[in-house]
Amino acid sequence: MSIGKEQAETTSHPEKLELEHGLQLEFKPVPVTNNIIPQAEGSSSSCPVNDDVTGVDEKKVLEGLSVLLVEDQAVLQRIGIRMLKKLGAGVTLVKDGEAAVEAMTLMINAAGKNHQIQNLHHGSNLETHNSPHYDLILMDCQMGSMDGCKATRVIRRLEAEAETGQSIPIIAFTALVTADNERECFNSGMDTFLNKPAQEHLLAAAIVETIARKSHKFSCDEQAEAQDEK
Amino acid sequence: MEVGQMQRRLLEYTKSLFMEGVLDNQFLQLQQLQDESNPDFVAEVVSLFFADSERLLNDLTRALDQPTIDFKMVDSHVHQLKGSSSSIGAERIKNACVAFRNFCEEQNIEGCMSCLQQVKQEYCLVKNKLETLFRMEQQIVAAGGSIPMMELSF
Repeated sequence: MSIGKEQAETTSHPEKLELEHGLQLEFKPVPVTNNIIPQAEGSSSSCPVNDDVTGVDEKKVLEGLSVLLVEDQAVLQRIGIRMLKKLGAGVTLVKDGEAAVEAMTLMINAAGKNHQIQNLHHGSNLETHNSPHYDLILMDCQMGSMDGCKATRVIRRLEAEAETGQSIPIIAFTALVTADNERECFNSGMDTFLNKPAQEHLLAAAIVETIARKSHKFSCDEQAEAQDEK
Repeated sequence: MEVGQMQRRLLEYTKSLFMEGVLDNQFLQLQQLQDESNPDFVAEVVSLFFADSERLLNDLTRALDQPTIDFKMVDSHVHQLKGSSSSIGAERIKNACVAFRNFCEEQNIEGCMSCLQQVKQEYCLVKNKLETLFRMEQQIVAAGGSIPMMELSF
């Protein structure tokens, strides 16, 4: 599925601005609840970045999820990490397609070994410690030598070869919103096409929906296989 | 100037940046990502953007100065600039990049040169405006006030 193409509009109302998706921008001071006021002399205005210090933030819809963010540009890395962490996700950043493939190779190999051991021991619940695990990949498309589509094709091939039946949800996260690019992304094996930059709620929705859709498909496929075996 | 006046001035100034199309909704997204645990988030990201943009603009100037122009490389730089400018809400830079990319596709040298000038101008404008905005915020904070936020309503 594709999400989000943004257009901005302005109205002549002096105090309100119509934005996209039915948003209105109102220019009025909001009672301050979450702004730092630097204390007395000698203190720095910046605090150590600690995204684990959560305030009153009920919007952690991605709590417990581990996202592999594949992004080569510093500005977009910073925003992507912050947005995902604010939504409660754990984030691992890699800076290009090759690094994404490397990270996924580790995960697929670990899952493969676990799968073999489980088959031998008939469903024993072995935990593989220290093996990386991601619930979803947020993949930039246009990057250096190995772009997002190429990396996705390699990852899908590795998954198929491992024969564990796993297929990690992958969202194409791109500013290049063309029909050709979208088609290429889906053909390479990506699951969702999301326009960059994304608003927080759209990013959250895309991630939640993609994971739900993939796991539903996964369980349907499992059931179908079980039926076939009977 | 007392704090309340400074805060009103800041809001008016921010409003004008939206009205002029210098900033768009994405800038508000950045502000939403700033909180107690990330109190300088907007300033940090904007600094990253300035450094990144200056590098890209230098690369573009060099690339368009070559005897044989590598339009693919020029397009790649412009794409990056478009991506980072749209991610901080710098709408006019983003729009200038869109035009620039069209000329790259046509391999139109004059069009590219003209767009580069346009992008540089828009970049300077955004840089000045944002630096002014941050200065106004710092003055408020130094006077013991807090930064008023703008409200997004649905």
